[in-house]
Amino acid sequence: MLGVLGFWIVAALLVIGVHACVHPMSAIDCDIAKLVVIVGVSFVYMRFIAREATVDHGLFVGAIWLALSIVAELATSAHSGHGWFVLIGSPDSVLRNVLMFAWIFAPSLFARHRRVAEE
Amino acid sequence: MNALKRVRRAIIGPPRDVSDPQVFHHVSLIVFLAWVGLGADPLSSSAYGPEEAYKQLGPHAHLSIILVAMMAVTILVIAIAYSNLIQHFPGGGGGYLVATKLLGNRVGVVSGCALLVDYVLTITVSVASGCDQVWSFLPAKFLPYKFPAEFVVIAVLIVLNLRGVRESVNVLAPIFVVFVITHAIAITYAIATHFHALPAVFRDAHNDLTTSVHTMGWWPLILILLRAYSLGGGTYTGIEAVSNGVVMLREPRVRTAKRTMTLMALSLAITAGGIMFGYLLTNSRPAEGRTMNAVFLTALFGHWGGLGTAFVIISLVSEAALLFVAAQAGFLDGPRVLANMAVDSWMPHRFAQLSDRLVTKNGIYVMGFAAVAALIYTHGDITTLVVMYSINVFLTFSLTELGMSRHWIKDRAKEPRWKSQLAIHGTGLVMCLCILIITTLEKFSQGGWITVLITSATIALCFAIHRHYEEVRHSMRRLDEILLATPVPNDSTPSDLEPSLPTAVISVSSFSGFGVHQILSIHKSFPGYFKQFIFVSAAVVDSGNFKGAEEIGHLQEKTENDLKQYISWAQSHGFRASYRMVMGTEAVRSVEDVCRELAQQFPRAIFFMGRLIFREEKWYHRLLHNETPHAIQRRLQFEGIQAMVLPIRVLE
Repeated sequence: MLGVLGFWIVAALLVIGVHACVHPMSAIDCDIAKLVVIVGVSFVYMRFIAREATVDHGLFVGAIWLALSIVAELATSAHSGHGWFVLIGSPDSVLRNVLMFAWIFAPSLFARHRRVAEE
Repeated sequence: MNALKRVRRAIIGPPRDVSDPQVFHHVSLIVFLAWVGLGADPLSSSAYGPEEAYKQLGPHAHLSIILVAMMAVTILVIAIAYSNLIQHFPGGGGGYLVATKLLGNRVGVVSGCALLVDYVLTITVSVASGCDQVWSFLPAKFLPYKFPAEFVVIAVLIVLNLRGVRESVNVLAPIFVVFVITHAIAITYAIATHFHALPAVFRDAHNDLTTSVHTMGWWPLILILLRAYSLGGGTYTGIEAVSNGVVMLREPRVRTAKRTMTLMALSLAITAGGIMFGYLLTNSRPAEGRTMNAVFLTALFGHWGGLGTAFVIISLVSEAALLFVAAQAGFLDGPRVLANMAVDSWMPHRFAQLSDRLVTKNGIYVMGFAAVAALIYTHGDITTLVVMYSINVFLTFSLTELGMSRHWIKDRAKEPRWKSQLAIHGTGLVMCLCILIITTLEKFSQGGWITVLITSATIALCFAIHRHYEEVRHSMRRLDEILLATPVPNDSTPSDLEPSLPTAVISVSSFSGFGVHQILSIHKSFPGYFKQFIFVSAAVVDSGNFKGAEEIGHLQEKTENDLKQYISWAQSHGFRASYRMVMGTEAVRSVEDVCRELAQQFPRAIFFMGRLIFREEKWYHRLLHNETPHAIQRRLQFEGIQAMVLPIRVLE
């Protein structure tokens, strides 16, 4: 579980960093860069830490990452008194759905250990 | 076991042994758990069904007494009809199986597809509605997080269901119990505290009815009632869940299913009827930003101070949580319908496959991902979702009732009780058709069209899949006719195998031209080299045969008989031959284990697997036909074992 939490922290910090650097220039580029970061961190986690992980595990990790992102955004919004949507994306942006998908499903994309069924 | 496997075990649980006679006992649901797992769907609809019906009455709120009676009768009729259905189809299957058996394959597919879309929407409606309830307690600034939270809930439910049916229900049982207790208290309290006012309520209802008849006439009044009754049809959704999930119930299954159905019908009739009657007793009126149930509970307990507020919050939170539990019905029954359709070749065969936790894993993923897609399309808008949902539910209900009515008319000579049964199913058919027609006509432009479109597209897809499988089956039949008709010599060779001799190990399924073709191909490629054959087969336990110890026994017996036929065939052609059989839920892993053992016993063995080859490989072939032979080959070759895949042509 520490690995799951640790990699979420890394991903969240990178996403915040990307937001600070890229968002002032272009909102769309910023969302795309965030997407790359999330997929990249998922790749590193699944290929180097959870080497034999199945799709189930990837999905579980993705659900935890999105839940943690929601909690982080809720806590920051409550603390700052205004909406803070850096991790999942702005509610007005179409790319918000894509970012949510990325948080949940990106780890499953790199699951190596697939079982094959027989008819 | 490494750390990851330990985490996986903790989340998903250890694999189950299908050959264990106690496995059905461990995974099956007793009446109470079945009531929780399958009853949460109908019971949770009391959160929005009665409200929708009550709102449609407008100024004629007193007529809700008639609606309560209509609601109770409808639940009773549908429940009795589905209890009969369980008796007739103890193997389960619900609407899909009934329509297939009683109205034909094509109508069965329509019913099955409507059910599939219905279960996807059950998940979406329940999760969206549950989050709506939770978010109604939170400040408005948190509203942007509702949608992502719905994503998380669906993902968590997917993971929970991958653990297994019973485990997922155990986790959710406390929520169900809190809902039942709080709502029972609320309804009892509402009636007890307004007991003295009951005569006045009935008198007002009578006056309202008389005045309305005088001012509008009978027909407009009947239409108002029918419209409210139909648009409150969401209340009855989910009653069919037990008949779809009979196979997951504890033995004796029919008795368990009937008891579950009784509990479900009673609890739904009391809760939905009680809540609507409660609206009338407390004179609850729709309020902006609040559900009718919130208005009703506040009217009852609001004056109790802190304790009353706490009770209202607990009741509404349990209602929200129950809606999440209700999503379970979609995850329990949706994959089961998908599996039944896969067994009949209407859906890709892999949907019938069970995981090592004995759940239809691929079906769970499909239901979950489709629910997420529906959520994105509707943005969690309950009104649109409920309309989409009701149309499909009542389409399946109507086809089921039509099938049963037809059955009683056709078999009236053999069935002494046919008149009473026909009366029940005929009444059910009229009620369901009425709700279906009114909902579709009223709400076609408000989301109804998309349901019709998606269901039609799913039906078209099923027919395309079935056609492909039929073509392959036809080609395989030709192979059987040619190869199994080969004359078999009478001389027989002893079956003792010599470990030092070159051995061909062939992975086969049933005794067919496909397997014989593999033997002949080996001969053609290695003339005179192999002196002995070992046939390996995995008895794969899938959703179609995971129904009880008896079915597993039959599967084992059939697999063994098929292997013995290969032995006779090989021996009669002068070869030494033997077989190995293994049982499991996954062919690849099971066959791989046996092959590894054989490679140690027979060092000169080469392993062969057959694979269908099409003249033109299409992208969808990989979805419809598995890659088992290549997967086994890859794994064996990685272990340093010689393995070959033999092509078997499919002549289209």
